[in-house]
Amino acid sequence: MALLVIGVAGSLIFSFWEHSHKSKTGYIIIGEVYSSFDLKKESEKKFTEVKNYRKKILDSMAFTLRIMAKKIDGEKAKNKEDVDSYNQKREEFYQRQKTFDEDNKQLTAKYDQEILTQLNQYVKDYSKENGYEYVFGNGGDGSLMYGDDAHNLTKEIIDYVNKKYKGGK
Amino acid sequence: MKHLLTIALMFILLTACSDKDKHQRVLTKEQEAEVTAGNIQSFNEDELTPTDYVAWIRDAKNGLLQEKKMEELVFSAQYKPYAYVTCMEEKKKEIQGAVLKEKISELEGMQYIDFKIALTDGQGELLKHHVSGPGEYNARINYFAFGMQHDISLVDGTDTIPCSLFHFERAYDVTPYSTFLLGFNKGTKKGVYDKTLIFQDKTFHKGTIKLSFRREDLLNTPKLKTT
Repeated sequence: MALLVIGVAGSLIFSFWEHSHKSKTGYIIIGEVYSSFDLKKESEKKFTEVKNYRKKILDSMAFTLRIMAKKIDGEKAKNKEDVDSYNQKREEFYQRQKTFDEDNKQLTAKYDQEILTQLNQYVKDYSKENGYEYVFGNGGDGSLMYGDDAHNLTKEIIDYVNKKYKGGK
Repeated sequence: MKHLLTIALMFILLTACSDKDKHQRVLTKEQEAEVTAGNIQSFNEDELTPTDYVAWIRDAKNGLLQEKKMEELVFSAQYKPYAYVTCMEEKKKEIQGAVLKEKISELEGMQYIDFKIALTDGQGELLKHHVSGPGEYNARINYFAFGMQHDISLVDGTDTIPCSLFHFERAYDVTPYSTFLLGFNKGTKKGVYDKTLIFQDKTFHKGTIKLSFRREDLLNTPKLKTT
């Protein structure tokens, strides 16, 4: 009888120990978290505004160039001054276009870095607060081939990161 | 035994009700503004001495100090009720009622927040953090002193208020933090609403940093005990 009691107590202690020492893991679908992150949405909006503004400037320059080209085409004897002015404007246009393209790329990279910095921090905060040892990222690149739905933290993390971003606790 | 249980149950119920009433005390919008000004008592009926009052305001669990860790940096915002500003300026163990009243009338119309950026490990110099050379260092000082004001705003309810008072508290020693004293006009609507300090970080590449103060916490500010 005593042995039986010891055996039951031992197995209970072992299962409790095993349960409490079992590592808590979960995973998130990175694309969903990224696209649902409020900072990403705000940055995208800001980027679109800047991009559209730059496009307007380029459109206006292109329009001026077209008018100049039309004028030159209509001249029987090409006016050298007009041609020089056109070439100068065209050069300015290409230069500006190149600068804007580079600036747009830099701005996208800057926003991406900021978004990832904040996302990483918030996911880390969530994991620590909720006792996770590992939170894996499913990026659709095969690094995580399968995860049970019960371990999918995507929705919770989206709520958490947006709350944290807004300044909430 | 039965009687004892009934009495205990009634006591618990009564306590719960009075607690509920305390938090549901209805204030007019004008009164709410007076609470944050420090003119009247709030839901929190405590009256604290200047030392205790300052400690209470600085205690993060009371909600007027908000922090956000972002990798190697911590951004924090300290909401400063007028009574707190008075305590910090007077630096006395006792403050006279008349002095507080006078200070409040000077401070009224604005809301004050201290914004701090610090290195999490508490070592090094924030001004030189990830700086590549003297040019960038000077540009950072210049930005902290002048340009940064334009990257800060306060969302107060539905109003977005630009930062109208800005002071970079320059520490000439090697410090792992920088402090900025901010002032914002009051919102157009009467009453107290959730407030969010927004900082568009252009120096450390952390993006938009938001720190929020809840209306409940703002209204829960205790009263400063005066003599």
